Amino acid sequence: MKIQPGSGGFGPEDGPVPGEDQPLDRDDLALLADLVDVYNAVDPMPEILPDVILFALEAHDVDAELARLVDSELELVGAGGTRAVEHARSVTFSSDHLTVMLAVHPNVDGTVRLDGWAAPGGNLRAEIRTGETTLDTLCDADGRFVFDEVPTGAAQLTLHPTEDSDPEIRVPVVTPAVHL
Amino acid sequence: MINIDVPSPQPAGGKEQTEAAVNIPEQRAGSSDRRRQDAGDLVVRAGAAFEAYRNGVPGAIDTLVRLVSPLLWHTARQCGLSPTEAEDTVQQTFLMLVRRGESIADPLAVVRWLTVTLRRQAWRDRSQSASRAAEEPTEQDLPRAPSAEHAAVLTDEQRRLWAHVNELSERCRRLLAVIAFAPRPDYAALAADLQMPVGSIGPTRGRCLAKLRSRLEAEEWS
Repeated sequence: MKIQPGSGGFGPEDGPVPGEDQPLDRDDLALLADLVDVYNAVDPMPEILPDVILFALEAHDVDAELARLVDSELELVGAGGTRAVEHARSVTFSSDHLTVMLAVHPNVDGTVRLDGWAAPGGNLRAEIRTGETTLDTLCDADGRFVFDEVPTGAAQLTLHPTEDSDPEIRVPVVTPAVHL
Repeated sequence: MINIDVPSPQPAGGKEQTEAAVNIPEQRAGSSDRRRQDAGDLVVRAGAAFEAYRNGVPGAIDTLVRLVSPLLWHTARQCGLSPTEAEDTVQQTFLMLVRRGESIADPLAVVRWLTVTLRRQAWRDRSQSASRAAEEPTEQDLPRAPSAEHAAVLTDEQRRLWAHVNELSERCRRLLAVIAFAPRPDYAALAADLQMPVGSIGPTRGRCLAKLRSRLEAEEWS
C-alpha cells in the first residue's frame, strides 16, 4: 500500500483524526507495553540524564544565550569514573554568537584539566560550575582558557562578556550541562 | 538578570508540602487496561508536579524531570537523533520549559508541551545540520537489531517481539514506538515526522499492530 507524503500544515483545528478516538483494545495495549519494555532494554535513557538536567536547571540564568552541544566525545553512559580514560576527549558547543571547544584531559588525582577555546572569545570570562565548586578564569586575546583541576561529575560552562571582549557578545553564553 | 533557582527546602513542613502537592489524584479504579492507565497517570502526575513547581514547591521540578525524561528520551530517539543529540535536546527542552513555561495555561498540558517542544527542536536541529539536512532518519539512527549486548538483557519473549518489530516497515516501527511511549501523541507533529497524512495515522496504527500481532501468532502456531 502506498502512503502519500503529508503536505504539512495540519493542526488540531482541522478536525478529528479518523481512528484517533478508536480505543486500542487490551491486546494492543499489552503489546505496546511489552514494546516499551523492549525499547527500555535495548535503548535505555542514560540513567544519569535527569541528574544532569537538574544540575543545569539549578542555577539557570534565563537571560543567557543558550549554546547547544554540536559534537561530543563525552558519554553519559558509563560515566562517573567507572572506566579509566587515557586520552583527551573533546566537546564542542555553539550558540548564535559563539563557538566553544573544550578538551578534557584526565589528571592523575582524578580531576580533569579543561583546555578551552572560544571564538570570538578574546577576553571573555570563563566560568565553570560543578557540584562542588565554581571556578573562573579570563580567556586570553585568542579566546583560549584553561582550568587545571576540575572535579569530575556534572559541569556547566558560562562565558561572560567583559569590557574588552567582542561587543557582539552582550549576554552570557551558557552551555548545556555535561558529565565530565 | 534573573536567576531561577530551585527553591531550597523550607525549614518547617517543606517535605510534607512537597509530597502533598506532587501527590497524584486517586487512580481511576476499574480500568483493566494497564497501558492507558499508566499513560494517563504520567500526564496527571507530571501536571501535578508542574503546578507544584510553579507554586514554588521544593523538589517539584525534580519530580517532573524524573517522570518525563524517559518519555522525552525515547521520543527524541524516534525522531532520529543520536544518543548524544537526544541528551542535549531533552536538556534544552527542560530549559525552554523554565524559560517559557508560564505560557502553559493548563498544567495538565505540560507533557504535551514538552513533547511538542522537543519534536520542534529535533526538527530544527535536523534541518540546520548540513550533513543531515532533509534526510529521513537512517537505519543507523534508530535502534534496530539486537546486538549481543542487547540480546543479553532481553528475555526470549522480548527477543522474539523485537525480531518481529524489526521486520515491519520503518514507518510502522516508528509509529508504534511513538504510540507506545507517547500517552497522547501530537498527531499533527507525528504526521509531519512520519511524512504521512494526519488522517492516516489512526488506520496505519491499526494495520501495524495487526501485522505485528499476526506475525507473533503465526510463530506460535508454527
